[in-house]
Amino acid sequence: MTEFWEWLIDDHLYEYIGAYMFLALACCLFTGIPVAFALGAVSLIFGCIAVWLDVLDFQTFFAVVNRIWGGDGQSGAIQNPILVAIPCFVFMGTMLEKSRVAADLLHILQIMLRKVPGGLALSVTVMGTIMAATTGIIGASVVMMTLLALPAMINRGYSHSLAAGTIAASATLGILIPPSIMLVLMANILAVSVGNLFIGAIIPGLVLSCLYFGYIMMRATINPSIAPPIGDDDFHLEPTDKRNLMLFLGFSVGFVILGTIADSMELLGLNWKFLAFLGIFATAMVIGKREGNTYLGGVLQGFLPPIFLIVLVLGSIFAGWATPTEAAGVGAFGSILLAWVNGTLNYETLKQVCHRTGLTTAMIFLIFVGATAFSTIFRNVYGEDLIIHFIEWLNLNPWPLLFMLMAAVFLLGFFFDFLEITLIILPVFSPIIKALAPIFAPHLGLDAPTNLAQIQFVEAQVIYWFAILVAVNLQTSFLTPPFGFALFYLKGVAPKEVKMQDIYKGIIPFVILQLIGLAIVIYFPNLALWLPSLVLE
Amino acid sequence: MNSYLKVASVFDKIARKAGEYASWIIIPLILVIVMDVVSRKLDFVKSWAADITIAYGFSPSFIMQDLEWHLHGVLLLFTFGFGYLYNSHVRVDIFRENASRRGQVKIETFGLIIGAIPFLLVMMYYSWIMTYSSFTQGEGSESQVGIGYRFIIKGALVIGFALCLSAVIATLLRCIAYLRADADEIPTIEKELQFLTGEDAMATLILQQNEESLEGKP
Repeated sequence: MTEFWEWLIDDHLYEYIGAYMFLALACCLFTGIPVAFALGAVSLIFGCIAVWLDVLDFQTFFAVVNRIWGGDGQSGAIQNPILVAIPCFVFMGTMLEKSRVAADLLHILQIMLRKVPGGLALSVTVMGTIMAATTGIIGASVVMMTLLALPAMINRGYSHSLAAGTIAASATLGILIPPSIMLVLMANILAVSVGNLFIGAIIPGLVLSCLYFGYIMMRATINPSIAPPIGDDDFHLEPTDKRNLMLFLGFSVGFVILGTIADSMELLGLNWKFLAFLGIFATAMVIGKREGNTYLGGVLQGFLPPIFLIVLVLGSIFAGWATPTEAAGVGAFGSILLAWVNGTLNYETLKQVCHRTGLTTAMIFLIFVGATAFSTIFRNVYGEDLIIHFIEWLNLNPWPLLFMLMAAVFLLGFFFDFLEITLIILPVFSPIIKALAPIFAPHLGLDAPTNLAQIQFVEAQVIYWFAILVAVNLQTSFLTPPFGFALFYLKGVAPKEVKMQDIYKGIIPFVILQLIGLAIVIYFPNLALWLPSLVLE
Repeated sequence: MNSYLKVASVFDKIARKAGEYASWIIIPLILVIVMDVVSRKLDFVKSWAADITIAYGFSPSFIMQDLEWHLHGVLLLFTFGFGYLYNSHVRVDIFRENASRRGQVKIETFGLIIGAIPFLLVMMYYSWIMTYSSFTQGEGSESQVGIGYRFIIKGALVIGFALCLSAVIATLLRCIAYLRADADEIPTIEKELQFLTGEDAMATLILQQNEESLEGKP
């Protein structure tokens, strides 16, 4: 008997402690205590066991604190200029919901798309895509879009499942289309540039949006009863005032000319092109307000605020004018300005937005703390070597391996949130993909690397591609029951007649579309890599 | 029973107030970033800042960049406990929802005693060691021209984990009170247990706020 125990503890446990750690984590998570505490508990308990087995020293927990602090200035939570972007993006998204930007946008989109079959559902998709380019979080945006669009769709006689599916899928685009806090976290973990990841995610996000658009249009054309058209009398519009249109065009041309002249003379060292853009924006806002309820007024009021923010945030990253952190801060400031212009800024709103930002930031970073503890202990008990050995033992070709990793991420998405998967699973997967980089090189249109610099370049490209694949894949984690964040939020605020079954039924085609989108990005890697390469040149 | 709840409400208040005040830090954070960006894009401000660096040995731009992550650090650390009290921390809810309320409270109590409290204590201990050594070594800014006195922000780690511990203790005391309470007291305690009353406290909060903001619509 004692022999058995000696074998169990000294050989078996000593070797496979990392595997048991993962197993214990899975059990602990399903008890339903906060994920961060479960991670902390498992790492502490297994840390103690490892100390008892002489695998590691208890001082390793000092390394945990040091990694949370971020001594190297790029991978921790606190001394890390990159992650400052996260609270700013959260604030920006939350503030934007308070500023009625989405309501104005949906109003004008409905008018523009009223002749197209399934017009209302299509305008929700377009709104989701545009808003996704201005916010980096979902949750609040699902709630907002449901409140805005779902009652309207049901009143028009839309099928409940199509309406719910459209809203849930379009609202979760926000996590993929930059700016996105998920991409910031991924870049931090994979040690790649946030800006490049942002730019790379634009086209895959638009591909998904186009797939949704095409699907809704097809369904609405085949079976108009599930998506009745919008009647002509539903919107009452005043005729556009020609003078305002002329005034707007005149001012815009004037600002462009002035901006170009001042820029070429380099007056005062200011960025005149940007100032001209601000001037056009201000004019448009004023004229939009003067127009009120007309076609021109609707277009100006609906489209300008999101475009303003997109130019401010994505434009400045794209032009290399600001780092993502700076862009996030400036964007957050822009969202305050928009709320002020729309007259929704007051003390109460600001307080609520700050509190919600605080709560979301705490949620993200407490998991960060737990995951750091877990991964540090896991690495120090040689857990990563176990996984590498396991992969070697499987002896798979790179392609089946990639599909296996994607399937794992997809299946984990049924139970876990993007945060857990990004922070716990991604650090385990990325070394595997890095090792396979030379094999994937021809598929990405790169030559087989011969020297060290080329190998590093190929590795970076493959990691970017892989990160985008995981990002597209993780968007489904919000939509897949039983633990789909977006579905909970949607159900929480939906009218009573929308049943959970309708939501589940409605979401299936969109999850399939998502997988088609994933396959497209796997097959055409240039969708993810072309735009960043353009910027690099 | 009452004494448990009274002590719990003190711990609750500490964590909640600290989190509420810390949430406001996002506003100065945004302003500092905007100031930093604007000042680095204007040539005359840039040369003015260079003069300061030469004359006094510190750089406004570096100070602002250091201040950004200092503020971010305080914001995220001080809101840990606040987030727990609002039940905004992520849980994997599949099996928990099927358990009885009493069962849920038991699981949470067990999880807090075995998991959260020892982990937070270990984190506090080692952050304190880090802070103390930073103080005795007089650790300053790496760039020599940014914000020195690193022990201040490292001390925020200790306080942040302590605030989270305070929220955990408040919840733990309420859980114990719930498990030992008579049948007639249970509803009052249930209201204070964030993970029972607000199945989706975050969603409820968002909904409430959205209704308020939508009411103001013309």
